[in-house]
Amino acid sequence: MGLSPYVPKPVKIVRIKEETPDTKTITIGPKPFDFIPGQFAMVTVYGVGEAPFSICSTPSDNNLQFSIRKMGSVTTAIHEASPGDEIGVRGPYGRGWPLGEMRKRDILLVGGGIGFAPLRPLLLHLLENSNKYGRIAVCYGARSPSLLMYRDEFGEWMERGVELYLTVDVGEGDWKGNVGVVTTILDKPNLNKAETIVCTCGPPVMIKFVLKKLVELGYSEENIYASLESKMRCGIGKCGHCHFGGKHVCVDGPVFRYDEIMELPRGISPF
Amino acid sequence: MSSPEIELRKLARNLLERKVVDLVIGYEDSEAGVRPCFIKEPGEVEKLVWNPDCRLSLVRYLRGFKEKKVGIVAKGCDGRAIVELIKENQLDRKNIFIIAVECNGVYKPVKYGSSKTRRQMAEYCEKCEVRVSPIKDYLIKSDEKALEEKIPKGDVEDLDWLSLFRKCLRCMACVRSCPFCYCTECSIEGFKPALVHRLVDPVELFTFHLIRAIHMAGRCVECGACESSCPVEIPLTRLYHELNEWFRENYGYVPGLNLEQAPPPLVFKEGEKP
Amino acid sequence: MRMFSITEESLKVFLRELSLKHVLIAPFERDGYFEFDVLKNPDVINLNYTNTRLSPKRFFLPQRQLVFKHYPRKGFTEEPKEYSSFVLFGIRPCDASALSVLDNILLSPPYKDASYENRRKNAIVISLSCTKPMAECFCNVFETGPIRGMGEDLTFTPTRSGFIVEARTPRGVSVIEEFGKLFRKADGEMLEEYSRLISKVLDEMNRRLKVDKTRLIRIEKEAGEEFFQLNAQRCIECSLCSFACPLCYCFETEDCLEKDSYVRFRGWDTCISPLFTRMASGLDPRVTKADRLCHRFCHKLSRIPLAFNAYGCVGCGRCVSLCPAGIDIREVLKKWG
Repeated sequence: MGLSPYVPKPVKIVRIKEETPDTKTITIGPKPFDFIPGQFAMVTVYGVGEAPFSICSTPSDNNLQFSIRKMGSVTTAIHEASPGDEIGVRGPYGRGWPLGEMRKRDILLVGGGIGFAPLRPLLLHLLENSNKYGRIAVCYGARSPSLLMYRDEFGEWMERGVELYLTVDVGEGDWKGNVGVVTTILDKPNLNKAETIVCTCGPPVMIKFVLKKLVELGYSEENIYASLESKMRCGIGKCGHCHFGGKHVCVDGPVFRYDEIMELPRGISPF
Repeated sequence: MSSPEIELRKLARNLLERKVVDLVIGYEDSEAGVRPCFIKEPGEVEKLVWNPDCRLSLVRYLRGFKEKKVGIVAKGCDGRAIVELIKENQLDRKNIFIIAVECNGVYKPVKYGSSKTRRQMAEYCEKCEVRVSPIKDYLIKSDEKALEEKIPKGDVEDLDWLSLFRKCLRCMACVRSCPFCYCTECSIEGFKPALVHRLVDPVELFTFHLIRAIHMAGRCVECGACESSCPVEIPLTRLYHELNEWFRENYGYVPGLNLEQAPPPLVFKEGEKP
Repeated sequence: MRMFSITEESLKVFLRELSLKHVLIAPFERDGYFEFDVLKNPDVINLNYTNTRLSPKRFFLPQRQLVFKHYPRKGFTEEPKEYSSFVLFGIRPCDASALSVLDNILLSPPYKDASYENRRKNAIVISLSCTKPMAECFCNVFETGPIRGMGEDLTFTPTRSGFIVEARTPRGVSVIEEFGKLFRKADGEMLEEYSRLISKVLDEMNRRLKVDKTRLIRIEKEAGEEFFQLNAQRCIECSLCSFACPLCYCFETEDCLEKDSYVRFRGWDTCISPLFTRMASGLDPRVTKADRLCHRFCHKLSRIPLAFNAYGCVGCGRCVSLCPAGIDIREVLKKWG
């Protein structure tokens, strides 16, 4: 990288995959940097703008992947891009999931909709190093079955030992699984609750109710982590957009522990 | 305390006590200068002041209280703005109690870093012909007056508008203080892709000011809120005055004088050529 | 020894020689207010100016600046590398102190704001003390003036017999050495006058507003709804307070197309704007005007002090005077200080 930390590095789009009707997973490569699961990168569509996205590929992959929902101008431009196009990327930024804490412990991942993106690199990393960690359970919910991301990987995850629980707010088609919000399946995983590390990401309202329910179920507050989102312009704590109550989401987050989340001001805090 | 102030406070107390209005928007004195205040309790009316430093139009605050009955202290220009906004369906006449105060001109603000500290009447007040709001629920007579000291000025054509707009900080003070800028999204921000690239080229700010000027033609009541808020002293009211003159010559319309005459851009006449 | 003196005549010579050797930026009058700009002719410099309407932060953090140009055909990204050097003469101590706070924030590891660092490295900052503070000024509260600031290389203080010059950094000393014949070592009498002046002007200001700044961090926890809601009613959501502030550093970026390149610019932003935290999804963690106003004051008076051991306000008084709605940060200071 050159003089300024704000200048992205041009990388080619390798592949684009339609994940759900409104979300595409783009693969770019070769990856310009190493990262920890849970960290994010700033992705630039040249001439349009820049936005922060969670990296959703495993750290051992030679490429980088981002699952991107069509929302604003940058995401729309990414959806309109095709393989071979050049986009800019800089990172990795922020504090990732606490891998050190997870050693030898059971791990529960709770995701909602597109909020599974930052959990996927963690899950894949845990599976690749499964001898270092305890049991792994995943509770994943979406508004409808078609909005569940990474569906084609579910089988492989389960084969490799993941306890996977799915739920949707509204069933459709041949959906035979659970119907209800993600908190309705949180009691299903059979884990050592007091010792389990929980990582969650999703819309703020989901995080709020998931955190409440987890504490009710007996998970320990000091073991619960959530990844938050915010508008960002720099990713390195200078532009001020993600500054809330003394914390920069881009530097001190996006992964926060339960007690840190409780101290954030209302609005950015899901509570 | 001047007698208009005594009358104003008495009236405000009366309106609030009888619950004719939910709140009165007026001016109060503070260390930072005269500023808007929002009186909800009869006990607070002693805050209200009236003097030639009451320059910021309070009409822009009305859109924040659409469901409430509001008493508002209005100068002649402010009353005209209310008239025009009622015609544009932005305000409801029956929700507004207009406390018209006779205005004889306000001071040009002496701000941070001003090199001249002498007080002068604002330029736009010299051109003003409407000293009392055309519609009113109560009239307070006043002879409070800004010292009339003419500011030397040239023709609007003589001004180098490009270099004036080059100074623009795009701080939005002109937009945000204007009674007529009620768009929820301004051309200069919020649009994706951007209508005006505000960070890219100072010339684009010229585009923004042109957009704004065109929208002000035939509507601006020359209250000077934009000009007096502007940190780099761009004489915006002069530009809008010129456009208003053009409008008066071509359409015979002067904004804000009465509730009956419809604004020409809102009227379609059969056989009219575009 | 870092205390020197210079006569008024020698100062004129100093400024003239300075303008020949360097790009000189100094205060002068234009369109009815004081402003900093590059001056070819140092005779127009106004040494008796109050303060400039807008803060000199724009010479370090310009209102708009290029971040990069990307040429897709050539496949490379170009970024500005080196900015030209300049001398900023006559900046008031409060504004100079703002630079030292900005140094703390923008140059804190692990990432440094490269363009700011480069501009700062290439600039010589010379301050001019305030002996007659304005009604809006309250630099005494944050000890950022009125005579000595924190971020300057040289401090010039007007006295009865010319100027006392204090070299504050090695770079300041080298400037004195460069123009050695114009400066003399300050004698005991002058030093005495200097310290008398510091306490005299400070006393004057303390009589106007005395606040215990260390108590201000309470604002984060104790900020009640009422004060901010009252002022939020007034606030018209323009960006003037942030743009005029010598310390507000938040920025926004904007991309666009040029003939053969893609460009990104960055420029000032304000946390008062409703768009500041709104995400593309429409989600906004800070929805109300009162919350935004509270954030602005908490950031300056509590969060910057906790993180950087400096205050996010230097008491220049610009926001107080320029706010069209009369929102006054001194009321915050009085309430929580």
